Amino acid sequence: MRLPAGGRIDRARPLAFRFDGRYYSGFAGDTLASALLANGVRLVGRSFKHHRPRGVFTAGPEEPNALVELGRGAERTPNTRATTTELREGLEAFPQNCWPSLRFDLMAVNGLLAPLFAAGFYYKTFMWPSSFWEKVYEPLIRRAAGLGRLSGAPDPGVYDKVHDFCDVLVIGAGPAGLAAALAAGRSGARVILAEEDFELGGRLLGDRAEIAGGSGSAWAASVAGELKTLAETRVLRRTAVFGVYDGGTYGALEQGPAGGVVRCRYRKIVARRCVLASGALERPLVFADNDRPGVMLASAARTYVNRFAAAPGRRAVVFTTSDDGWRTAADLTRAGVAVAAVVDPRSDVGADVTALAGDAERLTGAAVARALGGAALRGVEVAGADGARRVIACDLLAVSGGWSPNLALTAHLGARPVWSAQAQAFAPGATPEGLRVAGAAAGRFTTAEALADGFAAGAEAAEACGFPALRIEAPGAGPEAARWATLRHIANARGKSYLDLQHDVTASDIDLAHREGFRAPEHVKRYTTLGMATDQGRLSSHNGLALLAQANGAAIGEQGPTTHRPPYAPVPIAAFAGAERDGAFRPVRHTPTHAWAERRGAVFVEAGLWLRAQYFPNPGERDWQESVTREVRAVRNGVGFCDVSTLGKIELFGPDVATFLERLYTNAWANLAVGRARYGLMLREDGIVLDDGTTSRLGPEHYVMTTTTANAARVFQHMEFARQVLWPELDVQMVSATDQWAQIAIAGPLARETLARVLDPGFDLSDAAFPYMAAAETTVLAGAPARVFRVSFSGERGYELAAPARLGEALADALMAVGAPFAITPYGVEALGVMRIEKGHPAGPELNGQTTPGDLGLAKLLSRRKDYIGRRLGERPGLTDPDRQTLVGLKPIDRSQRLRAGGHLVREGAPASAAHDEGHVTSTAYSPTLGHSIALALLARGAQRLGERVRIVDPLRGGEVVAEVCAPVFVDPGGERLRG
Amino acid sequence: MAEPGSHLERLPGAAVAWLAARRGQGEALARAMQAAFGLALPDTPRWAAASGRRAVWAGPGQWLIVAAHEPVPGGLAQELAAALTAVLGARAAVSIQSDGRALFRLSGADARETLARLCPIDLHPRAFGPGHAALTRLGQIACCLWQTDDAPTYEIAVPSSYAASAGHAFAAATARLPASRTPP
Repeated sequence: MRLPAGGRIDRARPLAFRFDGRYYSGFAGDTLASALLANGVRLVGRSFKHHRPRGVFTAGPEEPNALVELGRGAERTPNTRATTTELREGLEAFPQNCWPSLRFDLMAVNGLLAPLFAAGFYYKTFMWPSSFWEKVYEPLIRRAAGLGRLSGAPDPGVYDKVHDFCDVLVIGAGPAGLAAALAAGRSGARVILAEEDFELGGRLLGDRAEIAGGSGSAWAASVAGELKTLAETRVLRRTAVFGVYDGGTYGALEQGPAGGVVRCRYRKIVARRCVLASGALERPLVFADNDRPGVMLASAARTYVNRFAAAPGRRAVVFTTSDDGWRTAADLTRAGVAVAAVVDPRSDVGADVTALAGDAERLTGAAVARALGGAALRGVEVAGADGARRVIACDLLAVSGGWSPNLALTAHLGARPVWSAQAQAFAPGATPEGLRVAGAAAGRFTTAEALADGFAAGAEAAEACGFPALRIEAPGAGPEAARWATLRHIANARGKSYLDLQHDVTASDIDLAHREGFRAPEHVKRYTTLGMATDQGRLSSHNGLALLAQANGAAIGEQGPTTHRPPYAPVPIAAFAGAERDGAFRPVRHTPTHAWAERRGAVFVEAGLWLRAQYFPNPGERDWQESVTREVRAVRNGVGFCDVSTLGKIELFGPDVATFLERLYTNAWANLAVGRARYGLMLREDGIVLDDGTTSRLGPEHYVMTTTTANAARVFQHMEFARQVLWPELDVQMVSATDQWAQIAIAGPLARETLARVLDPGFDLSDAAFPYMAAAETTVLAGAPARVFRVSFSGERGYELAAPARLGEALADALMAVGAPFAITPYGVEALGVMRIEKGHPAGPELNGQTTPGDLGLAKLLSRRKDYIGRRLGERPGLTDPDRQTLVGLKPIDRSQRLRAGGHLVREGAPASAAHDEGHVTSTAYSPTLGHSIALALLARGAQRLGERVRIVDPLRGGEVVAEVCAPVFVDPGGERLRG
Repeated sequence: MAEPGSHLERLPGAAVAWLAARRGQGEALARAMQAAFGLALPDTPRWAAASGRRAVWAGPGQWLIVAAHEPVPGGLAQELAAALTAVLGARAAVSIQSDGRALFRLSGADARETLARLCPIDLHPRAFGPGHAALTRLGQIACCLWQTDDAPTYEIAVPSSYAASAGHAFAAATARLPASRTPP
């Protein structure tokens, strides 16, 4: 029911919204929860396990009941707290966890079967048969006990991710946080004030506190105004800090304002100092049927009438163990809500406190034994001081069990809060470095204490960052009492007493767990699921610990709280991704001929981050195989070219490069002449092959190394480590030049004729002047710097021509023009791969992080006259075992059969079992040159088994092929073609 | 204060050369660069400029020499190499990188907010100003970034194969800026 006046809502801006299919109206400044209460909506959802009717319980982020699905279709966001959802025009929300409807929920039968759903229910019930775990039990549990549903569609929201830095981060904008931000901000420090609410003020908004002779909310507004004028102070509203990480790093989630582009924004905040002013959470009380819609935290009831002008009921009872609860009676009365009675189990409540109840009946020494009603509260059963029971009719029961400092963030780095008997609450233990707790979170519960503590904390934090210390006199605040007693479970045989409203964990679950032998809070938490819902036990943790301590016969402080871990508030995964999703999930690298290949209709393939031309289909070709076969034949019979710019290129300079290479590569490098290239093999420290490639010597102190595309970054790191850490005495400088050069492989019997026509005149390409494995610098395209290498991956006469990357397309055009008489053919990585398999060159599938040089037939590259990285560990018996699997070729006996990579090798006659597995097929291709399928494989003692037959079994995809083992080089084993 | 918003441009004609001192030759190289080009090579993450060339710190003993444009591809590096060889012999390594780096210039009042979405470093005027440089990342792309003036203007060099993705990253960051930078 909306109150006729008051509140911080803007009555000039009505907002229409829908809940559960019905239209309602609220105002700007409302939350969804306050607007629902103002419209008299009491029932907002069904509970997780028991499907009990539930209403709004809090006015903040600790809400366990009022979780809704927001929006529809792909926009649908489940598990949204109505108490923190800012009302906006057209908002649409749906209750969750009810089927078929909120009012008539068939699953509510679970409530009748509740004994079945007691602690450990899942562990006891869904045990066997194990084949039922995934197919039957899980779907069943999910349907019965799920929270909200995901839309299943791609999330259309826009998410943002920001790196923030500041001197002082203040978390929470209640009295202490505002004071801290003001003190730090005035000193000139860079301040970020993060507040989860859309308004600054914290409890000052919901309470009628008095500061400096005015209202608390007016003081908050004046501070907010001053903070705006401070150039280096930023106020982030709708921003929840959810985690504390090493090095003063904080994770925060900012909700985008209504109508904005960004749905939410993940902020990584690095702060030199932090003031944690996260306030305190009011504790519920544990009694029978304490979950009925209409039972609400006393502070929340105050917030609804004071801040939102929304009466959560017409006739109220206050049940409190704290002085604070009595203020609720005063505020409700003032708002026009009839207060029937204030029930306080304490018998020593001060007269100044009981005076707050006004005309309401004061029942001290009494307790509420049970809430009455079903979908709405009808009354309470009160057990008086004399033991007599009576029923008081009401539709609102405001409960207060005192306050717990909100300390989760202090514990994220491993510290544990400690019990304070004086405060009857947990207090901060050791705090993360640079973080100070202030205000109610530090046990300063009155407004006056919180203000003073906040100013001191803010000034101290700024001073620690080198800013002048400001002594600000805290403004005076009205008198408040802040005393409470911790009340245990009010036992009642009838009705369930809920501890964890969101997970439907009751007081009897704790007793049961205790009877079954559970003692430690961490065990009881997991066994009962207490505090494991999305609210992270904000409301339930304290009462659960208290009951467990009682059962254990221990003091609550002796056993300590359970561990807090980030995130403290739910964070959508999409927020961590920010813009880096879908097509921008990771960057894409384009080759210098990318646009050219696109124009030629190339089909592209991802190779790491690179997009490479896979093949260039001609009109009329039926499939990729036909295009690739044509490309291979063109290279074998004429000339083709391929962009190989993706190979890693590392420039090496200095007088000690030869020594450096000697230690990096397994083979000899000291004697490489200027103008020559050499193939090299690099090992990891453990003796396994890291990478291979050619390195050319372009000058006395200038080399250029190539790596495989996949390992370019890894090899560079490996070399930087060697250069900076292992051998800093070597005079070597290195830089990546991968992106600088467009590098084109030109291959085929007519490669020389083609290259000769594209280089600037005057370069002698004769085999005498430029033999196999020669390298030189020259010019191309009328004066542009160029590098030429006579290397081959295809097995044909081959050259690689490098020119500045911007000339990539011009180079491709020039090659097409000069090669036209030879029917020059651009080819992609698929043809490149076919030809390297025909030649038996190991590549990614063979350099798989498990193979040694011996396995790959490269043992001849292991120098015995020098030391190199990987030599010593490569000599371990396991790596030199003659029974290891080594590289072989395979040909199908029936040449029409296709070999598939991944098939396993088994001896003929042996069973196809893991025990008889002798290796696997690593790479396969259809060889246009041989006219049948070929493969490379790793086979136990392969080199000694040439000519043998093996079975290739493929249990995953089915099928079996018999193949002949052969040498891994299928085409031109003597290498005559590449030497010319 | 500059105009609101920010302006991004690619500097396609820029010339970049990578320069590294031979072991133990840092001071000799610095003297040679001062003599030949008037450039004071910074030995911390900063930059210095003289007569159209900028020397940007790019790691210990390494710099990027950047010029607004070079008429012939590789011309700047060749010029540098020639000058250095004359003055210093072979005591420095020079590698042409004009085609290896794509240069972007981001300028305007929102430039800092845009970069806050991409770079994990503090670019607040108290922490980073004209004259500063950093090796950092732009989203997932390694970059070298430096600030040239108070507008603020930043120049950012990324490996050239990432140019398109860097452009997309800038666009995505700009689209996510708060509509109003001061809360209502």
